Amino acid sequence: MRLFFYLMAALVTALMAWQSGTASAAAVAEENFQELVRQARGSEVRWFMWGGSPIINSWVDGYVAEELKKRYDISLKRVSADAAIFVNKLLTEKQTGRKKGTMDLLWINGENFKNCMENGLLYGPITEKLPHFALVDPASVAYDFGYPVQGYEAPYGRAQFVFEYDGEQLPEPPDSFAELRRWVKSHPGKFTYPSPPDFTGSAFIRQAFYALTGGHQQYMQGFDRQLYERNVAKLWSYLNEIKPYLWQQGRTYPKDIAALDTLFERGEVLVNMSYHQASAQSKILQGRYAPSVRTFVMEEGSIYNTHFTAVPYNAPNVAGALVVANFLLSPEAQLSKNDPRNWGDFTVLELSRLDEEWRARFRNLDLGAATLSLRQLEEAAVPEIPSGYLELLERDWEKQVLRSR
Amino acid sequence: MGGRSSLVLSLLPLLIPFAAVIGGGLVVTVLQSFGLVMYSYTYEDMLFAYRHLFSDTWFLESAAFSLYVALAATLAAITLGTFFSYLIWKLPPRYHRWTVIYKIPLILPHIAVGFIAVILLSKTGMLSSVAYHLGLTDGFEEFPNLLYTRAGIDLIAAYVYKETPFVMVMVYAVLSRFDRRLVDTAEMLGASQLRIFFSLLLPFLMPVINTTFIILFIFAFGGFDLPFVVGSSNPGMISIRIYEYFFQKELALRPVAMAMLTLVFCFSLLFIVFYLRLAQRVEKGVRKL
Repeated sequence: MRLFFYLMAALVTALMAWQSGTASAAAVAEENFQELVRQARGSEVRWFMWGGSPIINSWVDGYVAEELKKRYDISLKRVSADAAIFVNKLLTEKQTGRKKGTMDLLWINGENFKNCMENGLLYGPITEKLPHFALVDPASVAYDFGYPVQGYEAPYGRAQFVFEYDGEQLPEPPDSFAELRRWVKSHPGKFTYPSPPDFTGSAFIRQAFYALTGGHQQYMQGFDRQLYERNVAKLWSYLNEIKPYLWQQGRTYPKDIAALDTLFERGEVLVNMSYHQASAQSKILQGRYAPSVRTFVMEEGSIYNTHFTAVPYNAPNVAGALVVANFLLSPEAQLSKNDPRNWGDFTVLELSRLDEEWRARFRNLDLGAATLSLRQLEEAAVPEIPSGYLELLERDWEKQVLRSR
Repeated sequence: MGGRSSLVLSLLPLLIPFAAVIGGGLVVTVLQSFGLVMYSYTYEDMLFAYRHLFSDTWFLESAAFSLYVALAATLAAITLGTFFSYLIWKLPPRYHRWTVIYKIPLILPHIAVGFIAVILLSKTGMLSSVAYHLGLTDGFEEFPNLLYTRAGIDLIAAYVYKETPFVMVMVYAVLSRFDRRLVDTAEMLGASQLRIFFSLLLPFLMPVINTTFIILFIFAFGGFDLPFVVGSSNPGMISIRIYEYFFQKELALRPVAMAMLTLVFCFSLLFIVFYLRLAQRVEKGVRKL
């Protein structure tokens, strides 16, 4: 009996110690973060990001910059550059041994993240230093295009692939790949896709690859060349079958999504695509698209990916960069970003980790008529493919589709 | 004796950055094309990039297409530009100040000319809608494909539009120094206008035409901005291929972009040498006559 009592006491003490241990770890993280906030006060953070979208730029220069100034006295400088270009710059800095760089924070994902990791270009791991990362389901951001994230980038937004069409010109959009083939053949010249390696065009063929070869599940265990070679012929035969019925008889493809957007705006093609679920809505708000434009996803599923922020190995202001990355993960910033009037980019937070008030605010967001509901998008969502497949698909598309006669 | 070395010394402030930037860039490009200094990547085969290029025909197709576009555009621009400056030269002097309009395309950047081409030539563009309103077509579907074609019509047209005024400026500057009395004499002796142009003026203009030809050809052959806006994706100008390999594909494939750049550089160099030799020989031949 006595022994039992001692055992219980020991167990309780151990449990309490463990409890306080985790509590103090959180407290230490919080305290460390407060230290970062102190260090970052009055500093400048240079955020290098893709600058091709005016609506995103004005969200960053407006809401984000103002809040950071108000809360942490940080001046945010947005620098517009394509990810490939600033990764390149970072590579050169690494090669020439520059200890102090010029970039504090990067907007990055996929291929560029992989390139950075393979060459040791990032500071980290960083996510464990960000208190708001606790609101994210870590499993949902463990991989970036199949490459393990290992805490070296912090998620801040999510995008999903959708097709766009004008409901007045095309009452029933072709919402499966079989249907698309039939529709393209009966409407010659009215469909095309940007030529990979364009980001959106490449996502389009990945999606077709999933749909035509029996779903995404089989590709999730990393790259398998045999599996790829067994399956890929179906994709090439599908794409070659529709090729003569594409815009310009498939002899040439729009070089990038901007070119396809223009064709769609002018009515030369009737179906467009975007790797952002809310881009049609924001183009309607900008007056570029007719108000009757709507979006749809394929029955077989639609790919989503997460975009991240990361800190270069030679960032002059690490503390400031981490404070900004943490702010971008805050419910306030995530909600503001999710509003289609600001940007419409989906949140990476797991709503069940928020309190009821914040959950309700996310649920009550008006996403606009052109954007599908969160539920519809979630039901269709399939993860991105490991990048080994992506590279081969892009390379072989050129040989098997673009240049085949 | 001191003349030459003091000249070099006084040019040093200019030469050092020039050599460092151009020379340094060139050295890195060539090294990376052999898979050296490629960050953390190593390649077993130093010729990997070159093998990759020639393992397939796309590189040669792109090179041939670039060559064709550059030659066609430059020849057309030189012909038109020389002819127009001859016409201006023949105008009575009081009209000369009006001819300044031709210089407008000179101040437009190439990329702007690319957008003009898109606006004018696309199926839903201005030419198409003019054709529709004149009743020549029944809708934009019937308007012929002028953009993004395999024949490169859009690219050539845009280059010709952009480069013709440049040729005019270059040629007219030389032409205005030509002694008109020679023409008067030739006319008095009964030479036809054609004869005067080809036997008197053209030989006088050949040096400037040659220089202009080299500048324009090299530029069009390697130029990036116009092909980026209007060119087709297949076969595609070589500059677009380089861009793809440099920025859009995986980093480990960068040596392929560098190999293409190295080859373009070598080709341009060889082109200049051969062209100048040829021009010299032709010129000598003319003088002998």
